Amino acid sequence: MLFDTPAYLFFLSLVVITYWHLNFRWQNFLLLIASYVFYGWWDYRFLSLIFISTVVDYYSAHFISNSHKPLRRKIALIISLSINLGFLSVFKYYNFFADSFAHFLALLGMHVSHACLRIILPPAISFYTFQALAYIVDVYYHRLKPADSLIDYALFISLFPHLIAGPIQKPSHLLPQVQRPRVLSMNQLLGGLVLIASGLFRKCVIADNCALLADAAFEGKLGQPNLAVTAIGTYAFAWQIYGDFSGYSDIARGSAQLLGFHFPINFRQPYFSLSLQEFWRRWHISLSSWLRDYLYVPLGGNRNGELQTNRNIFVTMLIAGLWHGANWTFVLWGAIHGLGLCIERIFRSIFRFPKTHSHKAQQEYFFSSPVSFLKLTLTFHVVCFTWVCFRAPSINDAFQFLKGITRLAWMPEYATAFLFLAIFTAPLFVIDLVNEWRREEYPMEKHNPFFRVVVALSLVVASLIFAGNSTNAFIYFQF
Amino acid sequence: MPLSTSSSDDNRDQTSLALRRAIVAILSGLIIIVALIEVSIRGYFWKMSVTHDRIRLEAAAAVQIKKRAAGPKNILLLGNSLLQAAVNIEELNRHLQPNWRVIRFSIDQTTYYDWYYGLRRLLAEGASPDVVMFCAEPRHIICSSVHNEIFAYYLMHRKDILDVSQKLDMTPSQTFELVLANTSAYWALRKEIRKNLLGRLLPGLRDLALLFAQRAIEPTRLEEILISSKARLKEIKEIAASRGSLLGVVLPPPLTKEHAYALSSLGEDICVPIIAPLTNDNLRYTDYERDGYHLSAEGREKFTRAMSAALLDALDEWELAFSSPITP
Repeated sequence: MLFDTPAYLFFLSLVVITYWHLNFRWQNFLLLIASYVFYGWWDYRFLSLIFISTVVDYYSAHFISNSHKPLRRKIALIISLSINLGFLSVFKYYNFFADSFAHFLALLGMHVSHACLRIILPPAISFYTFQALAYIVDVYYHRLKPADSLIDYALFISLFPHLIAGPIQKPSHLLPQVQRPRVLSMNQLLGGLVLIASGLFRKCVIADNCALLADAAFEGKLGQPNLAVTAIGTYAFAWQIYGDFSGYSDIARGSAQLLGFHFPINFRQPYFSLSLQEFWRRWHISLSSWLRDYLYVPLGGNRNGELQTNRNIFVTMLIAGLWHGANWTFVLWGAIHGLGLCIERIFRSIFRFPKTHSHKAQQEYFFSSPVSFLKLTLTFHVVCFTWVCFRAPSINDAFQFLKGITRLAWMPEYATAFLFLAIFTAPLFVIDLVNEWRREEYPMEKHNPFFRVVVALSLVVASLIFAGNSTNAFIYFQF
Repeated sequence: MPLSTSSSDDNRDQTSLALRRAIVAILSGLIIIVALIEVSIRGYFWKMSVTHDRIRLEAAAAVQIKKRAAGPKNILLLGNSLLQAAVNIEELNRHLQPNWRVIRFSIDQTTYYDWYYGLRRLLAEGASPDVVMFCAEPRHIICSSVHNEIFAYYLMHRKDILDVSQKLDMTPSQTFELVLANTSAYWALRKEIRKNLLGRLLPGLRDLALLFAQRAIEPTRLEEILISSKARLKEIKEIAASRGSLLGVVLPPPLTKEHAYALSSLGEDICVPIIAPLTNDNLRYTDYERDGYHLSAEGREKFTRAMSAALLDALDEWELAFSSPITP
């Protein structure tokens, strides 16, 4: 059930209306059933997988919490992590590693036939696995008490607004909300609806229309890669993936808000970043936070000198790349970001640049200085070009596409394509500019309700009229 | 934005009342907007879009076709953009009169299943042509998809929704959208509305869209075409026969001689005349549009001439084969 379909809007309305007529315990039960219906709508065959994973983690967490013997606690932790990562490895990465290994052996002159299983990727597995890992690790380190009720824990894992493609929720943030009654104020209701309207606009109008250009450029329909085609494809995909994922996140947050849950913001105008480090504080914030807390810090973080810090950063970004998909293009994407972050650190320490900017300083810096504008332009283009790895089916295709920069060619259709791109990226750029200026967690939260309703309805009408091809699923659903 | 905890009953009551009022207000607003858009589309879109005005008129004309005791007999010609590009209907009718009259009903990007269900709906709504001619290239006959929203609105009868869903292995969401498109003109035509509005904003969009629409023509094995075509043409023949109509097939270019011959022979086996007026060998590159797929004005003239001759021969053979003029 895609978020931008009438089926989902009907489903959400039904759930929300029923939900607020029930008491707290029945609310959780209803949400759990609704979440499993939502997941089963995608693919009912994998309901048992998420259920098994949930039950194993629930009992493991209780065992870990109740046991006083360090060895037993560690064994339970390892079992739980192994089962979660095992499912993820088999379903998502088996064929990738098997093919890559066979290819590697072939390069050495050894030809092996390997079992290539037609394994279907269960929807949402990357997301709920990371969520479960965070939970079990937090319980192990006594940062969190395990959920008393299996229903509460199952709901924490499978709550439908964030089930398929995040945002990945910190257990310490979401689980307490699941375990206590929720309320809904008018402000929260309006905030939720505005978020959903904003999300639909980002996805249906911006992302789906940019997708037409991106697909045409990458599939060779605009001709062989040349400077114009590479520019069109790169920029179009950059805005497609941003509109798509931020749109999805907004709908997820808005849907959760209507049920009384608070999901933190997941995108903070990432294309206004002045460095890659800042980009990763603004893009997919829930993932970068998870990677920081559960991978980078356990690896040692920045506690053991510059060399090890850079190693930890690089490894973390490689894993981030691999998490996105079972393809070397994603690994390359992660590696480029990792390398970029390390280079920034080195430059910062050599030239003693300030590490982070406060909110106020950032605002002045971004708008007023030519140097900061250059940094923004450079960061934006580095990010855009790494997106080519995301979009291209193989590393070779990515390089061939980028090589087009060296070729000059023109046809009149390119002018139309650039104009089309401008029409469908300008609105999101303006929205981001306003959000960057106002720095609100919820769009227009300080405005009066009437204004918010008018803006939301305008976004809905624009989505109804200018929605692109609705068969484009959210990009992050494939992860 | 902080969340507050509360004792459940009082807060639940407050929340319920406020929520009910707010939801009623918001839903009412949304319903009004959707209703306004729906009424506007039904009333005015045809005036904005030449294509959809044509489709609407052709659909209405197709339903009105009735068998007559006197006067020219009716041929309902169904197809997609290949038909529009390949056949000049006025010219074809000039060649076929006074005994035959062709009424065209064509919708872009439609294939076999669009017209399988489309014919069912037309006949259910009262159409009764003497002859149904299905114009499609071989890959479209064996294609297993439909033109989604446009199909649901113009071609699909509501009672066929579950059959369509099962036959085409649709997901619940896709089926739900078909139901919506079958009911709502806005939902069915929203992509066309968007194209229309963007076309007015960006005059060069049509040329750009032609580039988007390019697709590599993948070769299909003849054996596969023959096996699938045999079964499918028999099915659609039965639908036509349920209202006493005869079925024939016209194969437009691009078409190889091999495919043309093989399919014509298949047609003889299953008693469905399959005519191939022109093949690739009879056409030059100037007979095609820039996409190398649809016929240009030059190609259309050639094809129409060839088709009228081939169609007349086929209709004469039909009449001879049944030893009487074609009657219901």
